[in-house]
Amino acid sequence: MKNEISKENAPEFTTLRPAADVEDTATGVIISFEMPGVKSSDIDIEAGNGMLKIEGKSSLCRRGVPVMFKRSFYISDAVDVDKISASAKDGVVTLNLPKVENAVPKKIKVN
Amino acid sequence: MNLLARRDNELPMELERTFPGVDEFIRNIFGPLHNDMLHQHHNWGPVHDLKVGEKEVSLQLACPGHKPEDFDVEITGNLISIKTSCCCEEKHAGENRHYTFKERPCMSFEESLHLPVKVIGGEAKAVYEHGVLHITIPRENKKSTKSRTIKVSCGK
Repeated sequence: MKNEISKENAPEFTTLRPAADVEDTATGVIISFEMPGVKSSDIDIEAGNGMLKIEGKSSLCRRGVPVMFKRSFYISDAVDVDKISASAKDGVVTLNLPKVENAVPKKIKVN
Repeated sequence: MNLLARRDNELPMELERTFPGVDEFIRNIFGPLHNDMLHQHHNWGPVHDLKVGEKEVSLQLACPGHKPEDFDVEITGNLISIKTSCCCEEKHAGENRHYTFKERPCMSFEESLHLPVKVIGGEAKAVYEHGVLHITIPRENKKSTKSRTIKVSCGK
């Protein structure tokens, strides 16, 4: 009986915040998340309303409980949400957030 | 121009999905929330998970962003050593990169573990997949471990 109660209360996932690198480029931002054990099919990314959310189920366990990586960021209106792209390789998920065309700085020559 | 900002004190996404705007409501009442109240934050690092089965020992080591050739695995008796070098610095040498922030550790590491059972190191297999190194090592055939009943005879 005691075991049944403890199983019911056991968390479904251990939630971890993945480490991230954010790199500024001329045309946008590149974010790299460390998400070991996460397949590309198990990654869920949402962008909109000024927020970017990423979560992924990992094959890893912590103290017998499966690991879930979750993280979110506030994003500027200058990000072109429709053109955000993502790729996953060797446990690192890379997101490319391009700027809207008007926000890309243009160099002006001084004559 | 910064295009994004970190959410250091974030509420679980499920709560935000169910009650939109709850984040701002709670912040207004309680002020900034402490991370530990909401999430468990850990440095992932080279975390390992060791399982001892009847026939084999399996080890999982989380080390994202590497390549299979970066690893050097050695098994000596019951001791397993895993070394990896990080090529981040070499890879980005000469590149003019501008990081808004950088949290991912960029370093080589060495991890040694004492296995609790005898193994056949020569038959070990290692696979690197989705940023996790999986090592499987067969166990040495156990000698008879059947329990034996010992009769206790009377003394003088």
